[in-house]
Amino acid sequence: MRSQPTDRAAFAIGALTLSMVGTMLVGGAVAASVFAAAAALAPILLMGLGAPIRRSRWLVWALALLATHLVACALAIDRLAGVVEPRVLGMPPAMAVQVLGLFVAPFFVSVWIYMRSFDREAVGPAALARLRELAREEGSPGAGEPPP
Amino acid sequence: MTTRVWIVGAAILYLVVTLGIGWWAARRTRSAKDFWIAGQGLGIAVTALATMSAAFSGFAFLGGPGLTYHLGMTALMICFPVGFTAALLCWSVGKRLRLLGEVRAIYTIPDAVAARWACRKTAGLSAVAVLVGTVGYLGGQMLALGVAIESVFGWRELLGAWSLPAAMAVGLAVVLFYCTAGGMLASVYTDVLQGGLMLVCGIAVFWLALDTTGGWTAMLGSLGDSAAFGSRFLDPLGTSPAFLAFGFFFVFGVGNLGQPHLLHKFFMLKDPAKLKWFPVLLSGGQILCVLLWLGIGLAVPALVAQGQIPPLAHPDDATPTFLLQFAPPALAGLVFASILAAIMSTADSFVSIAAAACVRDLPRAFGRKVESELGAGRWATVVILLAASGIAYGYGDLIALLGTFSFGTLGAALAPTFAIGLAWRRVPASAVAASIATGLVLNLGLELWSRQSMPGLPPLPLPPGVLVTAFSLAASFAVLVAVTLLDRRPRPVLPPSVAAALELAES
Repeated sequence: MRSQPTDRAAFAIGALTLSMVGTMLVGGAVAASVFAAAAALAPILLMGLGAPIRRSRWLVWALALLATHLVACALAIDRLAGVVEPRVLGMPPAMAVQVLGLFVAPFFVSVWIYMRSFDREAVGPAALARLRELAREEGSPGAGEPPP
Repeated sequence: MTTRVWIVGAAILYLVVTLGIGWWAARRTRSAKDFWIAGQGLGIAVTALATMSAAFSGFAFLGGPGLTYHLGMTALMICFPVGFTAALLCWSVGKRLRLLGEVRAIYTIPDAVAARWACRKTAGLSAVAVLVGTVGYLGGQMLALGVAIESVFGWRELLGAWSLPAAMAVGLAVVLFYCTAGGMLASVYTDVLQGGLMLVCGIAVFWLALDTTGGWTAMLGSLGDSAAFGSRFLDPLGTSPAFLAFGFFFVFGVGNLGQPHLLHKFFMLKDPAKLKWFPVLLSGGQILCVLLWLGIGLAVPALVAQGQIPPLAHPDDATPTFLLQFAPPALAGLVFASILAAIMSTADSFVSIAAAACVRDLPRAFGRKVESELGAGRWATVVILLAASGIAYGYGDLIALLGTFSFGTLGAALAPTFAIGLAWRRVPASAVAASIATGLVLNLGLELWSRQSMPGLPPLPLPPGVLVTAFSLAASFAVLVAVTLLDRRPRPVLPPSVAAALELAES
């Protein structure tokens, strides 16, 4: 069977989560760093699997950028720890990286990409009617009920 | 007027309005579809607000700030994922579940499993996972509701040993009335009220926290300079191992994909095209709610550092201490009402889902069908609520334990199935069953093991800071992918309508 993009994305998630299981069994500083990067990457890969990546190549790049950003945050946090003066937006640098990198940026990036890639026509009344028609032909129980 | 009068008044008003919504919804609930998925007629704002309030239990308002007082910024790794989880939910599962609901009569999560894999055993196994997780969660919420009511009304001094059972009985009566009479319709519209309260309180309390501590920079400056908290408090990893901080991030970022009380809301949306606005509404609302956690979680230690209050005897006292000492009486009343709201909004979602598992999903797994699901659903709601509350009261420690790791149990058991299984056509029913069983057994087994101190039993072989739930969730994902790759049997062809719905979701 020819490999599809979803096959590759799912395989990557399998490998990533398997590595997480391994790091949690091994323990130690190196394993913890690998786990941190994997934990930041896992939601990104799941978005890549769930999103329409075949039609929007730019999305892959945006997600890859976000992934890199998150991993960089995970690594940078360790370097910046210990500086307590509120220097960035009234926060110590490490905290700023954490808040901006893991909270604020993912919100704007994920919502923006999601809304850009959402095709309302594709799930409009005509498409839904076609789905219900297919279900009716199969005699599916409860199928074909129009939304109230 | 004293703070106590405001708090009691707000709580009574809230409970009365909730009962009113239950009565209104009961008059509009005529079929099983109304009872389980609110007639699939909700608008996007109502769906998003109801999802938001169901997602946040009382933990977000009480336990969360306490955990931040205890662990520092590490605890905030639990709430940071709310920035992206709504988009992830919609992308991975939301659109697919809603479109499956267009071609099959899908009222529950196991219904969706049955529609995708056409396997009764797998759907039944998912119903068992739903039941185990939801009853544990529900018991924990009912116990928390009792504790919150007795605190609000000050019954502990008045009623002594009878205080908790009396408070639980009052909470039970209110939830029982509106869930039994109005089903999911009542649950959703009370969730909207509850979500609105939580939003207002999140913003107001955050502003008050900044005002009380001298502003954002002064608050963080006093924490960094204090001997009691110091720089480690503001360090993203704090004093905890990295495994704990990023374990929180992983579990609460990805585990959301397996929470039935969130996934269930997608079936209720009237127009799938409106899903475009769901992430911005849900994430936006969650971020505003989380401000309460962030505000109190940082302000209380800052107030301790500034010498305005003494160190807390118990971290969970952070929210009550801040509200009773610094909030205007009206705001304190509103926040205590919203704490009740947060607990009840989670409880009502779970009781409907657990009832559906009993009267719809499990009988169907055995090839049976209940004749009147509406009537049976109402009875099941009564029985489940009474049972969960009774067990919670009788075995408080056990149920608190179940409540604590129910989120993890549901996430580990169901997240891989929906996050990967709906998008990847090669996933067979055998992989889904293996993944659900792995998540369920590992999470329950390891969690119980970690709490045992039997002679001869070795300690849990996991390094310090590793969350059992993170381990189970990762293992469950890995098992789903591994079994899919190893199972070489030809895959059954999907019915054209199901295949078309899943394909449409990728557009």
